Amino acid sequence: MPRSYKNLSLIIVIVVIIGLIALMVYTETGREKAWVVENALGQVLTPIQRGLYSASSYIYNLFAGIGQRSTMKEEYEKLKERVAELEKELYRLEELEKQNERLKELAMFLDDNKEIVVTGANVIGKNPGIWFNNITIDKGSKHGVAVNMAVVTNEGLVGRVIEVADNWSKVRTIVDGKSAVSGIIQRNRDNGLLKGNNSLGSEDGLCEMIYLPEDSNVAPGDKVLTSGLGEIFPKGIYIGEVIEVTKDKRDLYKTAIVKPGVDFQRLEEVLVITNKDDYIMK
Amino acid sequence: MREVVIFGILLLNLIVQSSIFPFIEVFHVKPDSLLSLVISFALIAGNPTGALVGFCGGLLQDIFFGNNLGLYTLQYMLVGYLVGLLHGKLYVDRIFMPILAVIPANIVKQIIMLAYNFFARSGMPQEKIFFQVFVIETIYTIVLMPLIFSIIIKLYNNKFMRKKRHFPKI
Repeated sequence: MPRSYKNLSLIIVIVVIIGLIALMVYTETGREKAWVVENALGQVLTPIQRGLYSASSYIYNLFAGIGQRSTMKEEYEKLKERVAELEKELYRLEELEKQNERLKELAMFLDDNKEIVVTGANVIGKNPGIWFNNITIDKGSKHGVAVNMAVVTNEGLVGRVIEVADNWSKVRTIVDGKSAVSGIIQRNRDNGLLKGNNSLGSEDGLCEMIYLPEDSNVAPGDKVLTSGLGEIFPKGIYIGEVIEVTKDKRDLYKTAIVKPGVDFQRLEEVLVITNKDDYIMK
Repeated sequence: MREVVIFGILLLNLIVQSSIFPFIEVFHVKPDSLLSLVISFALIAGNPTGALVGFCGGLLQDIFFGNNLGLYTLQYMLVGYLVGLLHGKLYVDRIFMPILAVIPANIVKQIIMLAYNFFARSGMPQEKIFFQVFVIETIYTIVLMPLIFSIIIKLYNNKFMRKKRHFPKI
């Protein structure tokens, strides 16, 4: 590199530096109007600047969008969790409301039949399978529960206690094949024996009322109550409704298919009642 | 042609710096790709290219993002000129020299910034923060340096970039 060139370039650089410092000082203080040179430069560069700005903002938005999307995803996950929480809470509240309704009805039933009610109980176990024969309740001999006591809800008869432990009891429901309950048709006072038919394997959850007199005019829609015979169940507990009447040619009696008033699939709270002579359910 | 290509690179750099780098900043510090470019051009082509690239790149930053006209221009032009003085005097490999040049170049840049801060009383961050910015920015720029340097080297392998330009002799 020639010496003269080196010196010259140094001089140029120093001059430019001084010029730039002067420019910095000049443009540093607030100017109301853009400087003429800057203005001219701006005139030339404005289209470029505009293009640059839109290009920059386009790329910026592209990246910002990605950033936002990631936060949106996070927020979405959070909201999803919140919704799940609230749904759970809602289910809990609905559950409480339903339980409240059931208990209220049960309490009314209890008020009406105070004399014979031993205790209220929760169903804590059911036989596996769609339909169950026996249920377990959380009250036992400690609470005054004894074998052969009747178990009811406000909807009707559930069954009877067949086994008692200190803190729990086993109840055979009326839809169990081994169950036999003496029943009476409310309208015409015809007596019959209610047997569970789940052992038949069809029409599960129904009872058969057998030994109805041949001349009985029992008809679908008739209400069936406990008759009080056999001294296990108090008289007058609602069992269910006749949905069909059949008669085999060979048989000397009629058979009625009874749909129990209790929904065995949704059984949660029950009352254990004892029998009393001449007591009629209200 | 050469001037157009260089100016295009500077514009592209401006776009990338202002649009993409905000998303890769560490402790609010972005890599200084303009510094890498100025160092690369100065090491490969010497002066006046180094000084001119620094001048134009700095001026573009001043016009579009500066508080005044001249601060960035002064910083990058001076860096370009000083690094350009090394041209032809040192063996320049592809990685070690460019990386090594980043440190003094950034020191020059920061000294000018400190001086501006002192004289203009601009209320910009104090010296302690300046040091932090200097360290992170230097490391970040060093990481970027080999990539940018190899791109500029490849660019200079094209014929149109090799045309020599000198200050006119008096």
